[in-house]
Amino acid sequence: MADELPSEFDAIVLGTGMAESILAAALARCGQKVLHLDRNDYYSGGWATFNWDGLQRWITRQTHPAVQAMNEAEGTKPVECSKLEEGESALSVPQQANTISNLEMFTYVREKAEEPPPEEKEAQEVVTDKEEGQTSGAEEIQQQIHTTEDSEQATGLGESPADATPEELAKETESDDKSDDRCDEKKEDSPEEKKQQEKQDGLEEEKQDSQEKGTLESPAPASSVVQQEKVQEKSEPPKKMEPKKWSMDDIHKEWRRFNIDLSPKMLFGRGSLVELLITSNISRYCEFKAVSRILTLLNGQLEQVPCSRADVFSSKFVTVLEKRMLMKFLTFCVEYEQHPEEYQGWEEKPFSEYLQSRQLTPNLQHFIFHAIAMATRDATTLEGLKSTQRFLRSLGRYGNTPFLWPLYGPGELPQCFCRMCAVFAGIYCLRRAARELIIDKDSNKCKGIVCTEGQRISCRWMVMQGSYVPHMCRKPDPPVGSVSRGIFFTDRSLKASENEQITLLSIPPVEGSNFPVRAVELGNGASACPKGMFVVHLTSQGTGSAKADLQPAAEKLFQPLDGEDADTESDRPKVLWCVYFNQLDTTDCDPSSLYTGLPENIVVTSGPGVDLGYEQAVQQARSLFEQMCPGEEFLPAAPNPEDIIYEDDDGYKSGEAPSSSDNSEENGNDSEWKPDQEKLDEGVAGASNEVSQDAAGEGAQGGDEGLPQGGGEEVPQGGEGTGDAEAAAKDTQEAEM
Amino acid sequence: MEDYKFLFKIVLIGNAGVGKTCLVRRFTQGLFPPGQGATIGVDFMIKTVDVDGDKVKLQIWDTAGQERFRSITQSYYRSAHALILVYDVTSRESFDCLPEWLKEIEQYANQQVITVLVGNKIDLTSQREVPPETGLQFAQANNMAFLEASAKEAENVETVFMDLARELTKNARKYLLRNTETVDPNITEITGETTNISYGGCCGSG
Repeated sequence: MADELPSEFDAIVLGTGMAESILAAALARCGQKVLHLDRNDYYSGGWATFNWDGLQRWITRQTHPAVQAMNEAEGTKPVECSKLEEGESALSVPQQANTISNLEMFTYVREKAEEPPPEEKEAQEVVTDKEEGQTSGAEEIQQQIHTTEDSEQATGLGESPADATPEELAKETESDDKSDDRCDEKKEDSPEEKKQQEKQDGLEEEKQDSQEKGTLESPAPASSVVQQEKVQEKSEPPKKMEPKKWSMDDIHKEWRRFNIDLSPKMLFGRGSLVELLITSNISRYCEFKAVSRILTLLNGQLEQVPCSRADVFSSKFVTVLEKRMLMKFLTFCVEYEQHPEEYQGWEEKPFSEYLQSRQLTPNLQHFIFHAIAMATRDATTLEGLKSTQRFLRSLGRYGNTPFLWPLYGPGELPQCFCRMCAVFAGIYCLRRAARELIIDKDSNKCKGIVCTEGQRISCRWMVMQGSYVPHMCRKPDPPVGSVSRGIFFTDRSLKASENEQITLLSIPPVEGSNFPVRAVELGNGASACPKGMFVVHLTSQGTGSAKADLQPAAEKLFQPLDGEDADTESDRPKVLWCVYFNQLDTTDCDPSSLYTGLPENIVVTSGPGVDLGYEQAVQQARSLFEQMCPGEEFLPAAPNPEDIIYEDDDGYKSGEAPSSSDNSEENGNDSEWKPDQEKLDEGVAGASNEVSQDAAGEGAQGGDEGLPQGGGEEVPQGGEGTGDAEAAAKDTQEAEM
Repeated sequence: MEDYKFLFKIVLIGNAGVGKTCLVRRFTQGLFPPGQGATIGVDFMIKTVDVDGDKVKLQIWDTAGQERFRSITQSYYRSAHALILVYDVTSRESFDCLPEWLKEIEQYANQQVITVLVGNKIDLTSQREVPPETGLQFAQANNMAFLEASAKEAENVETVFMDLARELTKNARKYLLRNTETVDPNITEITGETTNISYGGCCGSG
């Protein structure tokens, strides 16, 4: 589209990651004219979520030799620019993020479902390590992508693979018979819906199962009754469902059903992002599911962590004595600041030693240290207590774990803020970025940009994600960190359960490492992948290449990755495909250690970083906003569309009615989320668990017109609104069937 | 107290300037604003309608201008029950972009979403560039319902939204019948037949 952009803005924002997007929304919300650009053809930058095709394109781009070369040559001196005026200079802006390294991709299944079983599992290393030659790696990867595309075409529509099982064949034929996907979908969904309704019960059962199993493996005495149950349980999974044998073809065909995250982060139930979504009314754009279980790896077994009070009480995994100890300790942790005497002198000492000193049993120490605090090996007592407290405080708000998972992946979240920015007149343009920054030589201020189409656009402020900072302004050898990431497609869950779960697991640091590895497992219910498949994300602080950092953890979770045939005895997941990469992490860096000579009206945001939550991005956006707009409110509640006052004459005026904002803030907090919580608690959190729809039911008296004509000034009282919201939630549910 | 039986999210897409906002405003407010200002601060509009005795609340979302540079956020599509894809009958370009919009729908919208194609601005008869048959053919080839409309003359605007409301309600009721016990908040199961909705007033009426 050759459309010209307006040529003057208050702020230009480069990059659509979390912090940039929050900031963009906050600026637009207080009346600033915002231009928001991204050089990518997708939103969310390093926080993006892709379907399979999108992920493949992203992988190709990261490893493309031309891009790599361009990055190295780029921006070592000031550039010539025809758009400059007297007294100006230009700095060239990198056209490619240089934040990903050590990308390696592996395929562990056949291309097509055609070969007879013996050949079934061949491991192909598709990409070589960076050290072994970037160029050849990139070529191979492209080839790989091309081959697979070819083979997909070759297979054509509905040609039955020669060796498909009768069930598979039947299934294929069925779906071929249907004229379109919609019928297919309907068919597949029905059983799951039922399942979801049974989830609550299922959860209870499952919890007990795992606890009983736990009793056996813990040193506590085991009764023979429990033993029998264990035998049953062990033999059950294989009988119940033989994992589907996937081929790359299957994966390609289902490309659209994947939502694969570069940064699989979770929201703490009482974290700053949840609060911000509520107070700003941006929650109406997103949907969440509760993370349904937290596992820990104890003595080589995956065990469910008892985290809530109820869990601890009902747990058969911990003895009565341990229960008391654990309850007492966790209760203390919730408000540890009130009892400084309990940890005096320990503050800077290792948390692990502190736990020992509290005379907690090894099991309990393990739970608290690894599963609840998710601490690094050398965490101090104060750090440990803080993380434990954060975990406990978020517990129970939206379910039995402290965490929420954004449906369709975390890549949706920055976009929600972008939408809010756009609603307040922010202008959006993907696939376009700044080519140069225009600098006023005297004042060393950034006056604007020349964008990639050659247009000159002026601004008062520049916001940019770190990877957009001109090389001229970067310090050599900055003290940056890295995040090691691995994404694995598997054929079954890490721990079989009746209902599909969203799982968080923290794997204690391996020998010689300081950092735990965090695993997040998602299935079809989280919209991450097709049915019968699971996506496991591994994340840890990077100390070397992602593969080196994560492989020890992967070996503990999955069947051997060395390409041998799947172990039919093993109930561990078989990895079908995986990719490793390192993300640059600047979240711990002071800007002055990274950049030099940056004009003072340029602010820089970080990428995702290694943390599980979003605290860093929210804090950063907030403090940059305060720097840019001192005294302005940070993302006040957007008016509820139903409270907007329309005027009869020239069109209408948008509802800046302050009363409406106040109101939404007042009754926004709990009433909007309560219905959501109810649904989440029922474990049926589904696709349209939308806060926006709940909110939409709130306080409207619209009648047939649907518009609170004039009456909009008289905003519904907080109490009334709350009641309405509850009622509306029910209605919404009805409507959503 | 708000009283309605179903709530549906309807999302408008299509090139900039085809009259999406005018269609929404005409339907929700009965207005046709001459100078179409930016819709600052307006996220979506609401209209509650009556479908065979049931109150049905329509939440109608506009693009917030993000379509101008082809930068609509995916989340905009995510939980839509129905999409209204709009082109301008006086702009061949807006019609030629439809395949690109369908691609976006395919990627991000729920697979069971109902899509209706609307050719707007039929009041500008002398400037027409896309004949009704062309629109109809495209709609049929892509399993969409089709209507031509004029937001300015209020022609077929009510029909577009009301037909959609009826279709969505019909499907929702069917679902209720089939699943009498508990309510599942998963996206509405607007089922199989949705591919061939026949709309009362078709293209010719313009």
